[in-house]
Amino acid sequence: MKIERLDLQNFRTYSYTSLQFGPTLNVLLGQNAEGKTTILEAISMFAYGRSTRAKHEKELIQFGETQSQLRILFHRNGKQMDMAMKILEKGKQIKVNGVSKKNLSEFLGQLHIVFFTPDDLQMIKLGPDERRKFLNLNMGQFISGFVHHLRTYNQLLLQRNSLLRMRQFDPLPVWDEQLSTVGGVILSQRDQFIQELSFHATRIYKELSNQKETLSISYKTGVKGSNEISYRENLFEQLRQSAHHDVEKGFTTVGPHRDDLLFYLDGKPVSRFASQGQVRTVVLSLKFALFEYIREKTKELPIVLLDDVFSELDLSRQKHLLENLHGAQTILTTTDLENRLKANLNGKVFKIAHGIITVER
Amino acid sequence: MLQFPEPILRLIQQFERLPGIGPKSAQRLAFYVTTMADEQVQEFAQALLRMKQELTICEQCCAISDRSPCPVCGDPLRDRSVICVVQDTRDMLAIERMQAYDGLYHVLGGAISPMDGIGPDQLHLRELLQRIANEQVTELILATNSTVEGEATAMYIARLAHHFDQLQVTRIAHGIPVGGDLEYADEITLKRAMEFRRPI
Repeated sequence: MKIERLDLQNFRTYSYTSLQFGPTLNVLLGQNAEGKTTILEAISMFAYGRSTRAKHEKELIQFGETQSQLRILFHRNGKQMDMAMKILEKGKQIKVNGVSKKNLSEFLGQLHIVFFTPDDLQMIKLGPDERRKFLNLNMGQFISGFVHHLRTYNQLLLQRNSLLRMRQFDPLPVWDEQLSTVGGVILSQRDQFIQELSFHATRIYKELSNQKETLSISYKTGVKGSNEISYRENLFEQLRQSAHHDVEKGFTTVGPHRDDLLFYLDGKPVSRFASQGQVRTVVLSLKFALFEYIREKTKELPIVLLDDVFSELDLSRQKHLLENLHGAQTILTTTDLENRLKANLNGKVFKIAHGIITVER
Repeated sequence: MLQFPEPILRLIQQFERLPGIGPKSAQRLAFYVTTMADEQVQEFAQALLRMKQELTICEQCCAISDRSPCPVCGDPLRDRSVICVVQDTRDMLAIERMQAYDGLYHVLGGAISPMDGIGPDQLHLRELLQRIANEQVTELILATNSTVEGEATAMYIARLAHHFDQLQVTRIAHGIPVGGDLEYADEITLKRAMEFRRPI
């Protein structure tokens, strides 16, 4: 998979800009707050369907404008793809190869990315929200219907919680039935995804840490089960049993919205016992595992986005990173070229200053 | 700064209350009214008032109608053993347009949505249960929307209806639209159509 071109209009600080990417390495060079990450954010919108940085999509529209437009041209399985997104103050419009798509489910699954950001480190230390976000965004990239199920689930959850706050038990089963149907799908898909990811991550951690420790990643959910049917049946039963408890709490205490992803090194929780360096290697392993997962599932190399993380790695990890990308198209941001020299990078360099992009080489 | 004259402002505010009308549309509509002939404006205002005055709710099926019982409930040729449950009167009219259903209807007036404060008591459910209890109903067709709220409403009614013996409860089918190409159907619809396939 290769991105050829990205056009932005009225997107954050950019009035208009167009970038033509090289086939392998692309370096976005510039000082902080000049708009490097914005480029990566724009690309990620086509894979995730939403921004990971903005709370409200309105923030993405350049100040004083009413709409923002993004367009990306890329190759996928040898086919030319053209995706466009128009962000309006209320909602957005999406097109794939010139055809308007009504819902996000039809839009996702075209472009696949692995996004490394400095925030990843917090994913281990902070609450489960961040880890669920990692699961949701990345599963939404290629598991068809996942985003739709997640949305339906969240809407059902809001309805059930409203009932709980009104202390009404009678109508709960009709919501529990739908919640467990959709929830069962989400639970079994997450279970499957984490199992496959964990397999890759353990192997990669071994390579990165020179066989020192063993990383294991496990799925933590309050719902018992092993497949869609058993998850569905158990979730329904557990929702029924927790009804009184939930009314007291004022929200639903069981279900996939309470899931978590746990990391262990030699059996010890990473969040509590690992050093900063170990945490960094765990996160790298996780992202590489995602890279391998996508490569296996789609038989193609995903696009790799590295936001300011390259400079934080020591030389051997930088080398490992680049060698293990198998020539995948990579777009990285950095504030100085020293790091590029360290690892002998060859690629296209874009200089970014005050929202203006010039190609250096 | 020159403001809108008070009478126009008043009308703009009224238009803005309507669904789908924003400030700009409301202004355009209000200024259009200033160019209309007096009789036309009279007619328009009368139409609004008379609609509200002359409409009523059918005492049997709870549909909005100009008489009670409504033309469907008052039709002696209708099959009184089947009731099709819909969310609102427009859904009933949509089914009527197909001209292939000759049973009766029951209009709920919405769907259960705790977030919006709409529970079973806010819908015309009691009326429905009375009809089932008092009349010779053998089938209840649940034709609420295919949204989470519509599904919840259908499930709720299905649960209530199981207390009645001899009453068959059915749900309308969901899937590929007739005349639709498979390749253009979205994945969710397709999945559902596969799940609910039937032998032929």
